[in-house]
Amino acid sequence: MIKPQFAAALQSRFAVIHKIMDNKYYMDHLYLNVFAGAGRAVGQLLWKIGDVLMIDGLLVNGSARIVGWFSAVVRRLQTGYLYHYAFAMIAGMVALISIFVLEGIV
Amino acid sequence: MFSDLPLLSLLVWLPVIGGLITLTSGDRESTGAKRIAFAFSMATLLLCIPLFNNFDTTTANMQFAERVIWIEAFGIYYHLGVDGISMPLIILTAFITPLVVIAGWKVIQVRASQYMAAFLIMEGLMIGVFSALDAMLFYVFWEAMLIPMFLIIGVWGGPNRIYATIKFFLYTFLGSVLMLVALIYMHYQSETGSFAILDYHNLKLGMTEQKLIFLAFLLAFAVKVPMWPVHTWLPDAHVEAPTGGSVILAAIMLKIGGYGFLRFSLPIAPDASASLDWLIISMSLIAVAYIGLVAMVQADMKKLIAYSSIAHMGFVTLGFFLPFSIYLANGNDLSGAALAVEGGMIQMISHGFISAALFLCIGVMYDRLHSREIKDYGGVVVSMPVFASFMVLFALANSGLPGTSGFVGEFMVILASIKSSFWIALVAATTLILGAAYSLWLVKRVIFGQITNDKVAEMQDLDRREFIVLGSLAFTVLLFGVWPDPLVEVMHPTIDNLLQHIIVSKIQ
Repeated sequence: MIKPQFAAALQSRFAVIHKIMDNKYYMDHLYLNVFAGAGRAVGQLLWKIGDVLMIDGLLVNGSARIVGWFSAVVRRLQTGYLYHYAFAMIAGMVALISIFVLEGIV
Repeated sequence: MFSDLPLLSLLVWLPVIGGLITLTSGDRESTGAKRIAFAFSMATLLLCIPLFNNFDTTTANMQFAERVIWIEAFGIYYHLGVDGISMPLIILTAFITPLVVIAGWKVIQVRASQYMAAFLIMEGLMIGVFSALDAMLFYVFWEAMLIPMFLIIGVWGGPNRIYATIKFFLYTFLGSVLMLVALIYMHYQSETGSFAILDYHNLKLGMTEQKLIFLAFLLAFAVKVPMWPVHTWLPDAHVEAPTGGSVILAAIMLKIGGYGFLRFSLPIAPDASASLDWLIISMSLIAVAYIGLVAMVQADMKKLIAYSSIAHMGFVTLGFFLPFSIYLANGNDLSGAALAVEGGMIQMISHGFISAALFLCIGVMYDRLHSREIKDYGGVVVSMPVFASFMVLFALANSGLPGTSGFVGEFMVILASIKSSFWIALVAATTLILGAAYSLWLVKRVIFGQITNDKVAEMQDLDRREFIVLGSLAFTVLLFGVWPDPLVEVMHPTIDNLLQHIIVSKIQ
């Protein structure tokens, strides 16, 4: 090299160009942060919202939870007291007979 | 020499009998049980040699057929037979099972005889599914197959195994019950009261009937494949299953769903398939793009490969249902349609090898470190260079590198999809980017980089058994990558026949 300071002089004069070239036109930056970053963000979103929340949370475990909730409610009908069951039978009979009579089936 | 032997029955029942013998050998001295299991699985694999050699590649007819009355009152036969679609899948099953037995040799110390027996019985039942030609026989094998898998995950699985098994069982069962209804309905529709699957192929059905039957089958097969949005049982099942269970699940059980589309949905309900093909194609494309992105962000290696399996199987279903739109766009272009379906079939076989290999690779690492988390690894190449080479090869094959079997099927399906529509091809091709992204990023984080975990530095490289298992899979992945012709040759007449069958409307 005849004039080693020449490179440094160029660098300081064309600072912006040097920075762009030094960072390879920001291509790696673009790929890493924009494309890969967006891919990861979308993937995360689809996984957390789509798979975990909607499909597994709402449909799969949700339907199981509804069955569990329904049986928890229905379970209360089974008290084990004979007079509860007898009363339910009488109420049912009254209801059925009144329907039959009112509709004129019998 | 083999011509008068009931070859298919031997293939189905030899492993089942082997499984029962393995069970009786007890758990006190587990090496004995493992040796018996290995001997029977190898004998089954050897039986595939006459199956392959004596297979006639010029006909689409069922070969090696066996037909004996089973339940006379309902016209149910014990009817076996193979064609170009089922034969490669049977060989795949017989090839993978011995590898699973070898892979479990050191790892499985608890109830070893029962573990080995479950896999052998499973093998027989899966071969039964692929060779059954009677709908009821098929259904029996199909449901029976769930039991060993249920036990494998439920007994030898991880901490959350009960949730995973119940989810796996309920999902699959829900689908298959509707399939049973469809099978019985067609039994009553056929004039002779037949349960023969080939009779169903020629059954005249109206559009509404076909659509209902198609949807019933779709639910059964879509769960098995699995297709988006009924796929969420698979990542859970894989994560909890022992390595061998994951291998069988990914390599073979998923293929049974794809096989079902070819054996039942397309030939039985061709008009419904043609009018609902957009549904399958969109579900497949969602699987490719959506699941590909989801696979990328997984922190658990097994979950990542499970999601990658769903994305790859999306290609299979895409290929199977492209023919109708190719016909529509190009006026009964039979070769284009054949490219799509054959591509899907090759993708199934290839994914059988690659996914098995990747799950075995994860198993190798898990046995040493007892973690499936990606963040616990890094720099594995330093302590396990031989293993690292295998893992890199299989990851590249998973991302569809030319020269590996992963490329052939994907390439054929993408090529065929261009004939159908540019937009389908565009979305399908995202797999090349996404597949590379999740496979190579996994390799980058696990295999390369600095060792941050001291235990990684102490990991031993592959032992002889692990080397044999991964080596034989590497061999097949490369073999079918450069020379897929034997596979194409075997399935070509059958697929041609299928494609000619589905052009003809069944509506009277």
